[in-house]
Parts: sequence; C-alpha cells; structure tokens
Amino acid sequence: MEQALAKCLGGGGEGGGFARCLPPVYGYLRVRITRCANLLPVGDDTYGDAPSVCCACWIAGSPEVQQTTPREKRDVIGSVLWKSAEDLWLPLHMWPVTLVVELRLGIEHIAEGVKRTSSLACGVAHCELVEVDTLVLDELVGVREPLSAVMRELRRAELDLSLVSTQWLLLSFVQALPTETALRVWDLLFAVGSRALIAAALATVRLLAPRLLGAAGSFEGLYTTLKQPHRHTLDADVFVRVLYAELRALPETALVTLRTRHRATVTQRICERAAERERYKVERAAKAAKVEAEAQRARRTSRFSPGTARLARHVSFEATRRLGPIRHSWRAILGTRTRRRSLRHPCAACTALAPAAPPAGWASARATAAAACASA
Amino acid sequence: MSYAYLFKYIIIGDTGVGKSCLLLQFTDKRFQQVHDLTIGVEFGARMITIDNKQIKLQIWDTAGQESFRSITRSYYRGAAGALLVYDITRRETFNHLTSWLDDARQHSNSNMTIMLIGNKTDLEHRRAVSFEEGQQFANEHGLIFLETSAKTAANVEEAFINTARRIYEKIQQGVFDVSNESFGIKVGMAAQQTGSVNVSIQGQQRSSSGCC
Repeated sequence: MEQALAKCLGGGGEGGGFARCLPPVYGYLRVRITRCANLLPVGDDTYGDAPSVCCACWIAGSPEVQQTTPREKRDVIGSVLWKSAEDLWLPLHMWPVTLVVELRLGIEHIAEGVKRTSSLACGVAHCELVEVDTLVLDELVGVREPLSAVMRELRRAELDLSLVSTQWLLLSFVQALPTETALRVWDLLFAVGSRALIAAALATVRLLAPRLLGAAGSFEGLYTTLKQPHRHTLDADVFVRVLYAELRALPETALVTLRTRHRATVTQRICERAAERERYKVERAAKAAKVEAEAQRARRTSRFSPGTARLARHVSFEATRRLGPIRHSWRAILGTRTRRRSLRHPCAACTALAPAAPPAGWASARATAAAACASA
Repeated sequence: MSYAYLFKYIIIGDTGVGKSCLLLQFTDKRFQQVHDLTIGVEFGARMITIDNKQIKLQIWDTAGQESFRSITRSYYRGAAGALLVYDITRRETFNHLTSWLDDARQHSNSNMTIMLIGNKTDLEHRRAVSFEEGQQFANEHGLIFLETSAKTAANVEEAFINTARRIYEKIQQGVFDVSNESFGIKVGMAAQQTGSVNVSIQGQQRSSSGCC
C-alpha cells in the first residue's frame, strides 16, 4: 500500500509537492491543529499527546514556515496552501489529519474521515463558498468547447451539475475518482490550491463528455455517468494531463474574477432567502394573531357568561349521570316534583338552577294530556 | 420506460434519522447498516403503479446537517412531495420537526404533500417518541403519518406510495396545474397518449390518518 501510494504521489510532473515533503515514516505522524487561517475551531485533543506538527506547512516546505513555532504554523496554514484567506473555502483542517494519519489505513478510511470531518466541522460559510465554486464550474462548462454541448444536454434533462459537483468540491473528489487519480488531484491541491479542484472537475466532465452526450438526455443516465466516472478516469496519467490543460486555461486571476462575480450572486440569493424567511415569519405571526382574535370575539359574543356556561355544563352532566337525559329534562320542567323527589341530590348547583314552581299552564296541559291518554 | 406522471420528492429531517436508508430500501430493497453521511444531496428513482398508471418517483435525499441547509433548501422548490423523517428513538429529532416543517412550507409550493415518518420501529425497546405523539403532530399540522423501519422494510413502500397517491388525487381534483413543472409534477408520454388525465381513482387505499 505504502509503495503504491508513494508511486502515485511521486508520479512526477508539476504536482509533486506533497510527495516531496512526505517524511520517511509518515504512518506515525500525528497532527494537532487548533484552528486554521480563517479561525474555524476544530477538534484539538483528538490525538492526545502527539507532537503538534503542522502537516500542511510541512507539505508546503517553505523555509520561512519551517522556522516558525507550531502555533504560528497553525495560523499560516491558509496563506501557505490557499494563497489568500478569501480563497479559503475548503475545510482544510481535515486534510492533514485525515490524509496523513490515516494514509496507512486505506482510502476507504480516509474517505470516511473526510466525510465525517467535513460534515461535522464544515461551517455554513464553507458550503456557501462551495456554492460559489459550483456556479463558477457551471459557467466554465457552459463556455468551453466541447463542454458547452454537455451543459446543454444537462439543461435539457433538467440536471443541475451542482448536484454532483458540490460533492466533488466539498470532498475534493474522495470516492468520486479512483484512488490513484484522487491522490494525484490532492497532490495538485496542496501544490496550487483549490484551483486544482475546479480544473479536476473540468477534466472529469471533459473525459466523460462522449458518454454524457450519448446518454440521450436521460436524467438518470446523465446522473449515473457523473456519479460513477471511475472507468473513464482510471488512468491517472491521462487524467492529470487533461487536468493540467484545464489548469493552464484557468489562470488564478480569471478564477478570482469569476468567484467575485458569483459570490455576489450567492450573497444575493442568501439575502433573498433571509428576506423570504422573515416574510414567512411575519405572515405566520399574522395568521396566528387572526385566529386568536377570532377566538376572542367568539368568546365575547357568547350568550352566556363563562361562569354560567360552566355551571350549565355541570348541571347537565350531573343530571345525565343520575337521572338519564329524558327524565331529567321533564323533571327540570316540573321543578317542584324534581326537587321533592330529588333522590337526595347532593349538588347545590342543580337545586339552585331548578325552577321553584311549575311553569304556568302546566296543570291544564297535564289534564288535556291525561284525557287524551284515557280516550286512547 | 414511459410513465404517465413524474413526481419529485424530497426527503428531509435531522441527521442520522435514516433518510438515506429509507431511500435505499425503497429503490434497491436493501438496508445498509453502516451510517454513511450524505454530503449535499443524493438522488434515487423508482417506478410505481397507481390506478394502473406508471408513475415515476424522482427522490432527492438531502443531508441533515445544519451546514448543508443552504444547499438543500434549493431542492424544496420543485418538489411535489416531501418525506419528513424523525427517529423514534431520539427525542430531539422529533423536537426539530417544527423547524424542518417551517423550512419546507417556506421554500416549497403551498400544495406540497408532506408525509411525516417516524423511522426505526425495529428499535421498539428504545422508543422515545410514542405513536400517538407522532400522530398528534401530524394531525395538528395537516400531515400524513406513518411509522416505518428502513431495516425491516416495514411501511417503507406505503410511505412513498401513499404520498404519491395523495399527489395523484390532487391532480385529479385539479389542485395542480400539471403543465407547470414548478409543482414538481411532469406529465409523461403515457399520459399524453391516453389523451386525458382526469381518470377516477379506483381501489385506492386510504392512509391511516391525517390529511393535507
């Protein structure tokens, strides 16, 4: 494994930065980084008493960096790797830790480590900056020939390239490319910065272009091809050659210009979403207030006061429980009889509500009813 | 393969509740024990049949981490259905439902069908959220509710299919303008060939509860 890695990392060409700086026994190397250049906090004591070696600075191999203390080294990681803090969108703290410490364990562990770290430690700001780079990539694919045909095909299938490019960029092609090819990309990443990732994405699309154009506009076909580019990117030398061509066609200044423009788009989008969220909150609050106002109005316009309504409910319940609904209604009308034969009703409320005398006309009505009953 | 309709779904919920496992179980009929974090958005598709019509489901499985919300929010807009998932063994995932629901309601179209799913019923002994609580939440917010297990595949098919059925009903009722793809619905060649989309639903099953 080590030999294979050393071979692929030291593959020559322009990207030998990482390989050149590898210590002879890199398996034991432990890294502890408390923060990176943009002051993102990362886990500190994960690696116990391991020496605080700034692997990223070591990789860069710059003499002035070599002379700094470990703490200073930690602070300059960003400037060493990424040239400027503005360019720092990758959760770079994960690279030295996962790459060097876990190099001996195999690519699957590295991938898992990178994914976990990026998911748990990657901040919202990182994702927004990745969003910027996905837009940059979209534009570059759209204007470069013959990639523009691919972009047209993707648009026809309503497939947003960011669906896959977000993962490519955020994870620096972990799992997206074959192991050897991915390591060569990482080598360039450490050497030239995140520009290498954009170039790698362009190289991937370029190598996949014949297959993408042959997918006949099928969403699933295009998606599967983009998600599984392994067969077409297996030859790392071919891939890196294409990557260099893309890298040369994308100078740093051009990338900065593109990023500036798209950052404005992303910022605007974020502002719009925030405004929309506020609007939604206000609407929801207004709706809740309206419901509450209606409930209050209903309470105010009720025929009975809350106390009377409560009392009536209580009486009804008690009467139903003791006498049954029909008998109770008759007895409530009869009044005196109910009270006399109230079966020692213990509830003072019921007694109070019951009428003191039978309603007027009751006697004649009763006589009429009795006569009708007798004749029947 | 031709389809009558294409419905776009989105699966949302806290990290680790089993969103990707639900998708994997539905599309591949298998369960993955190892928790593989989703980065950004993943995609899956499957064909189902409702009322003798082929309906294609395009499902976007989103990352649950807060940091990815800015990426995943853009996928709400074109979705016809959403599966809002919580883990019945972790109370906090249930407590966060309101926030997810707000996000979904805010960024999606107002007619989006939302299915609330309490996942991991195979871990009954570790249950922290009762069925009744889930049901009550669904009733209060006008959602369909089901409890599922991506591991044993219990109710997984029903979760996706009942949601599709509800969307299909809405199409029949004319709630959606199917020519407008922003609703997350696309009319396929099969529906166009029949010449009519207003076909009554026969033999449909009602979901266990709720409505939306």
